[in-house]
Amino acid sequence: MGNAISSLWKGITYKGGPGHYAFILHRLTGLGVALFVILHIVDNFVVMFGEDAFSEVLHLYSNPVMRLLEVFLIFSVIYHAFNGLRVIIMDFWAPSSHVQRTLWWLVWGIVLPLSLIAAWFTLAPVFGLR
Amino acid sequence: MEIINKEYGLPKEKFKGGFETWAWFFMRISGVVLLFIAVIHLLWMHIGIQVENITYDVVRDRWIGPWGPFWKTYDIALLTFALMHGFNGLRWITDDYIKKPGWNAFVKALLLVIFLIVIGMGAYTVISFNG
Ligand code: HEM
Ligand code: HEM
Repeated sequence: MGNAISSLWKGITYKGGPGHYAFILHRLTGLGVALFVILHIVDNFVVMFGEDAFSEVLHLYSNPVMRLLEVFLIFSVIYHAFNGLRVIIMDFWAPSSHVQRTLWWLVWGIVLPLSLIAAWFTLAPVFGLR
Repeated sequence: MEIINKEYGLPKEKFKGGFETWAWFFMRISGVVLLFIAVIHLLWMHIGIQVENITYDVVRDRWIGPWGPFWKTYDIALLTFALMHGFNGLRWITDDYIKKPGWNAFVKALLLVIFLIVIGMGAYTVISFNG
């Protein structure tokens, strides 16, 4: 276990440039989303116990702290999805380094606006803004 | 098909065919499928329905209303692809960080058990929900 932590730390502190940070972020977001999906299947399972039980679960999610975590989840899914697409494109195609840089900025050009719009719809009601 | 750049994933020397190569391709194919179904699910819940409007009735309408068969099929596809892709990813992460053979095998066995329980629960919910 100590080994696992030290190799994880080496991975995070390794100075490998932007590609390496892209990979670390891809891994952390993939891990986070996978853990959420497990929780999400358990929360959905509660519909089987009827309306009152399920409303209780939905109420837990409407807490401001949970809504903030939800914004992290939104960003994670969208970053992982579009960076994943970039990885797939790069696996089968060798573009010029100029195109590679464009692809990388394109990922952020899609991920940031999309995350911000979804974050607005998620958080605005919490602050009475909508 | 030729792989030109292998940005992420398994080291080149492991890339020789068989199960791991199949798993590597599966991550790409399921990734493209999830790019549509997972991102649309997420954006639909937040921008379409909007999370503060989600209630028991909304879920019942989606699953046993006129579009029920469509959404049930959609959710089963989402469940299957997200879990297979996600747990294969967790298996790769385990191989990268947990090197002791005993612990490695233990964690992967645990992942398999959790995968089977969770996919069973998810499929049961979608298939047997009837209001
Ligand atoms: C939405 C579209 C998605 C795309 C395009 C996508 C793409 C990818 C790709 C290409 C990889 C392989 C990276 C590598 O070779 O190391 C990967 C890894 C992974 N994905 Fe996804 N994915 C998506 C959704 C998801 C979802 C919904 C989950 C969680 C259930 C998830 C969890 C993971 C995990 C845990 C890994 C392993 C990360 C690693 O090895 O560092 N992904 N994804
Ligand atoms: C916080 C964000 C999310 C919300 C509010 C949400 C909401 C919901 C709701 C209301 C359902 C009930 C069924 C329906 O109406 O279709 C559902 C089902 C489902 N969602 Fe999500 N979802 C979210 C994120 C995700 C993500 C990121 C994934 C996977 C990548 C996912 C995968 C699923 C699956 C597999 C089901 C079927 C559950 C089952 O088998 O019981 N959801 N979701």
